[in-house]
Amino acid sequence: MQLIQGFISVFDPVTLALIVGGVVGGIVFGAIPGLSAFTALALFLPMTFTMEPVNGISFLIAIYVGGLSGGLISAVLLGIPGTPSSIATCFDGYPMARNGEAGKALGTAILFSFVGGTFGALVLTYLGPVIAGVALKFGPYEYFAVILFALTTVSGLSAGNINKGLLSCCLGIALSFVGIDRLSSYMRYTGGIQELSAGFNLVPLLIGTFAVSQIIETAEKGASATQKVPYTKIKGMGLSLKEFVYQLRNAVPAAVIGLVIGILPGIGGNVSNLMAYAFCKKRSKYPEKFGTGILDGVVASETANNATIGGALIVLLTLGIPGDNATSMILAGFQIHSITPGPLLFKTSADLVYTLFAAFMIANLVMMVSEFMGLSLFARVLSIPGSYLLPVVIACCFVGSFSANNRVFDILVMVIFGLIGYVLKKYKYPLAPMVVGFILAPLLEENVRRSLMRSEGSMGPILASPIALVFFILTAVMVLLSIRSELKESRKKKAGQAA
Amino acid sequence: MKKRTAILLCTAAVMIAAAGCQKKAEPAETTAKEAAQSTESQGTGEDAGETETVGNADFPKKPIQIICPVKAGGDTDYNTRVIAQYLSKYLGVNVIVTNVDGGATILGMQQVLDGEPDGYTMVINGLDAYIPKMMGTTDVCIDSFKTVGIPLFDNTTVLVANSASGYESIADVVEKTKAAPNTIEYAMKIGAANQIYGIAMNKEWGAEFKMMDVGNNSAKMTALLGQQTDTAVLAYALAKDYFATGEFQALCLLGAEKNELLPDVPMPSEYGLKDIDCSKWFWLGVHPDTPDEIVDILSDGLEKVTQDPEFIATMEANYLTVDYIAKEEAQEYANQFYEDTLVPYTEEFLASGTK
Amino acid sequence: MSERKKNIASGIFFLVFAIALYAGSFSIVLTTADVMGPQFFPRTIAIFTAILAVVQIAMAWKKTPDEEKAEAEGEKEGKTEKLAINAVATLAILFLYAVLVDAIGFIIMTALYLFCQISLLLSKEALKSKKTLVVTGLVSVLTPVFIYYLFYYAFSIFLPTGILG
Repeated sequence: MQLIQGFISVFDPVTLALIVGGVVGGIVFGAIPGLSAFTALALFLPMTFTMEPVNGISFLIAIYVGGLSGGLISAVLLGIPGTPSSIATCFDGYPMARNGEAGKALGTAILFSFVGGTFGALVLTYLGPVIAGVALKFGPYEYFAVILFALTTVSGLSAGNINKGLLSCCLGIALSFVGIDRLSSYMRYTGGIQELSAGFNLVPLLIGTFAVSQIIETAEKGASATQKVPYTKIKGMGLSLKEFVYQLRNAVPAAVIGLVIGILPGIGGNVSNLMAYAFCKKRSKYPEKFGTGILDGVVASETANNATIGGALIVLLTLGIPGDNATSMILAGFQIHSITPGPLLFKTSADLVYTLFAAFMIANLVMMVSEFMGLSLFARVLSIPGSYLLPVVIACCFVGSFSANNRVFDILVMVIFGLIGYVLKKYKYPLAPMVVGFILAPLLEENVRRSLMRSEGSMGPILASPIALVFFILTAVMVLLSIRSELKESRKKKAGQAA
Repeated sequence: MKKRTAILLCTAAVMIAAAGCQKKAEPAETTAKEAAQSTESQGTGEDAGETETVGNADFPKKPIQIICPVKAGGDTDYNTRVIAQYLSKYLGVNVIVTNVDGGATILGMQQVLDGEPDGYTMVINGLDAYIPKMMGTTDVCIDSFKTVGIPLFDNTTVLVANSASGYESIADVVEKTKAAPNTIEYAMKIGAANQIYGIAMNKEWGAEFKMMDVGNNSAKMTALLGQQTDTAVLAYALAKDYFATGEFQALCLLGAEKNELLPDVPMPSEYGLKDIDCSKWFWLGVHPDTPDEIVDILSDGLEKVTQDPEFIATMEANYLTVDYIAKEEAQEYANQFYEDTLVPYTEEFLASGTK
Repeated sequence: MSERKKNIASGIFFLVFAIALYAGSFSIVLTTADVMGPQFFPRTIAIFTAILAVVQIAMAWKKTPDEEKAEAEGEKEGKTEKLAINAVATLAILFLYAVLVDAIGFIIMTALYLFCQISLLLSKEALKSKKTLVVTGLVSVLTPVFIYYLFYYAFSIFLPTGILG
């Protein structure tokens, strides 16, 4: 079969070496907060000029896989998302590490990253073109509905106080208004500061809110907070077969969510981990345990973000459309060798395509193996005293913020958001809704306005789209369910106090 | 005890990092070595083409940056990287591309103006450089810089439709828009040059396209493929597979003259419609106070790039045209181009914005 | 501040924020390109935020019996004030870094930052030892030098050189 032929072609020493190097390099970039798969791709793209097409593109795919996955390392060990795709991994991964279960958290995250990635790879190989056809049916009406639905999952990230969660989300939305209005090209809320004409960049915002706020907190709490945390060595992959089978109930929906988000060009993989987490929390029998350090949270987040890669590659390879920044770089990698991905690619260079599928699957495997091999090394990080480790991490964050857009201004943005994150934490506001609001609001606004532009102001045509209608109904259901559970909670509280 | 562990850990960390760095540095070094070797072998006169580097002992002495004021991954970024690759050959130093995206190219342009006038930072831009000024958002545009030159022209802007729409020709489409005004969509991005192209088509042809914002090139392609919109302009290379399979139809070439590399794409004038020039060019500039001798060196380097047969081949594979206009001439060309193709539609372009 | 007072204070902050958001929307350039316009969303969010803020204040206003007790007891805030100085100092060196790094350069500023930050986090006893100071110094200087040259040679990302360049 063609796939087997693809695997045979991949087993070339140079190609394999590049895949391994790409994955490892990607993991390093993903693990350092502030650097991401996109940064790594932009840096290593020029190297592919002189490579064979197969090697060059396999290299880029390997970096993408490694980069997206590496974020879990800092998420678990430091509580700082290495990349935006690992934000939700912090919620349970970090508490697990604090409880001495770092090895288990890492092992689980790595294993389910592999599961999610392989799921994506299989769908890509066998169902690619079919799924791509579905992606084409999504226009502004449908995106409007989907993103609105995604925003309502915010309620799942509020950790109890939904009012504060919504306020945090509104703050994030308001921050996203700063900069150029995409639909009129005029500025909003920049106050005449030219550096703000591009708005706030997600990377400095993210690491400021999570990493810088953490070091301010640590400074406040004093030396006791920087004490080392116990680390228990793990057997095998860190979790038992029973646990693994149990977690599949989280992994499967998470993988599907990740894949779907990856397929919709323009949404970007950043939200898939958050949505999967919120979804798994909602349908769990013990939602209150999410955030305290349970496997479910880690599984949901990491399965989703690796499945997103498969989705994004589907659209890139079968349609030639890059769904986010990272896939744009991979597309550039194709163009450098004068190859355009798209329907013709399957007809004219089917062997190249199947080799790439094989390369993708092998990259997933390499990712898992190398991360497991590095486990004891990662755990060593925990034994470095926090008073040395945290400042060095912040130094890396400075570099990460700078590299986001090659500007020193973004370092200032990072520090400001560090302050904002610190204050939010002090006043017990959840951070995740702010990030979700910030990421999704511009997309929502764009698509709402485009929808209204096309329908000339009426909601009719929008509701007439079946896909959009489905998501609007889902949104309404989510909102009603959330209100209901909130009322239940407050009634419980009142009953508890009266007693 | 604590101190020893700390030192050991630091050393271990540094060694591991150095090893990791070594792996990454190696490919960079080997590529650089390969490039150097190929330059040398060409220099030893295997054939008539020798790689003489331009410049003198003073300039350039360290790597040069080209600031690309848009995000990495688009066609401007790609072309910049190819130019950078060949430019390093002729300047003898590494030329790297740094993306500074935002403010509709303003941020990247401003960064060069805020930098040193030493010639080590260039900026690349095109017609889009004029739009923020048109909108009154800034005073910065091409004249704010010293022009190095224009090495690359893109005369591949085509008006595309999905073949399923069943249009026979561009004339057919225009007639249909007149018959049913404001129903046939033209997909564009507000605030980008392609919005002005739509205004131009409506004005010059008397067409009645309905203007719809869909976003960037990826969004346009998705919309066309999914038949959510009717027409859009695209650079030919972006959708060349779809033209080959027949799924997309190139209705006409929007340029001042026919592109020899695209013989099958008709011109509007073949149907009695006025030709509208929507072609693009890539301009490089430096800080306005950069000494003229340095600008000359950069310009000579660029000129050599445009004479490099490999560069020409790479560009022509995407149907682009390689030619060189230098310094002040290029600046005049750019300004004239702006006057001819964008200024006539300023009123309509700005009419959608009221304070 | 007690929990309740904090909730009221943050509620008031968000209310003011919402008003500022709405006020700021008046200087947005209106366009007729689309029906909704660039002012609609900010204004909607401003109103929504204001409503949420009012709800927040209202919910926090009523004292429950538990909270009354907690407030009476929880007036020993002195200790927390002292430790907050480290937090403020951390913020200060972070801001100084962000503002000065372009002018002074990555290597020097990062070395200075690392030295100060590590010292802030170390316990008082640890600071007294000379060995600790030496290690801190080494880490502070080696880390930025390593990062700078790694990014320069391997990645071609040019960090600010400042006065060294």
